[in-house]
Amino acid sequence: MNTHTVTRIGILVGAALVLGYVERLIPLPFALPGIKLGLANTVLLYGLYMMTWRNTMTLMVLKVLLSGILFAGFSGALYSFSGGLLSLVIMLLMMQYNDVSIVGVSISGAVAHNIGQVLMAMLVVQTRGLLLYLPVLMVSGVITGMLTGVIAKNVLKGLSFHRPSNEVGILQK
Amino acid sequence: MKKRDFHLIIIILFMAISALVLGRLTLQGYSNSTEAVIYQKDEEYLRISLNNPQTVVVEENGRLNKIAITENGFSMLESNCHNQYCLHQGEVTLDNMDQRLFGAWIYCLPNEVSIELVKGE
Repeated sequence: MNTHTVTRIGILVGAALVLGYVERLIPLPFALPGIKLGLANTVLLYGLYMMTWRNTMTLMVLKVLLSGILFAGFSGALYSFSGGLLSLVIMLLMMQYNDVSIVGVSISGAVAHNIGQVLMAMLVVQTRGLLLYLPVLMVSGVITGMLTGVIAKNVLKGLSFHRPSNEVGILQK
Repeated sequence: MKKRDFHLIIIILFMAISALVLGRLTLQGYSNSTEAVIYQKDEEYLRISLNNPQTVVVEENGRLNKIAITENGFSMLESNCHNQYCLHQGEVTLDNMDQRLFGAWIYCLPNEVSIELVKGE
């Protein structure tokens, strides 16, 4: 891992942490557990499209670890990790399809994130009622995934002139 | 957004609706009388008939939940968990259990406590 990569991951982890914190300050009109905008996901999307998957995985693990220490606590970090891992795997799979845009990748990632969190919750408590809640989380994932996907698309567009020539982006989808 | 993105959205929404319908049809618990069943982790902790209204305290390893059981249903009175979502989930009654997002359940994930309203036959 060269200095350039280390610096880049460091900046992105910082950005993801700040977005995760800012998101906590936005009041939602409803108090539903597990539903949030997922602004930090825009950083992961940036990573997926501009770096290797290994570096993006490192980015996700560091973000989960640090936000666990700073805000969420150990159990919160476990939920974030299971959601983040499933979401990254699904997003990497969806990126293989050329006719799915970054918005579609973001939507599948957000839904996978919510499913991953429910799977983790199933290890903790009685699960039958959680299955009832899963559809709610899937629909909310579609909405929040679309929002963060559109944001990520525009961020990538705005930053694309900084892209080093040796990394050919798959942005022009 | 591309055409495939819309296909993806439709597929996910379809899966969500089928999961909702299947869940509502198959996950409802029944027993002899209408009862509140309290779970600690995934094991049954206590089963109380609604004919016997009372306040139940579940306490383990410093985790405390106070549950009010009434003739109509139950609600979480007090919890020392950090997010307090369980208090926001309100009351579960026979009348509202089909409309609630959590169905017949109240969950306190941090304290690993869950309560289900089981319909009497």
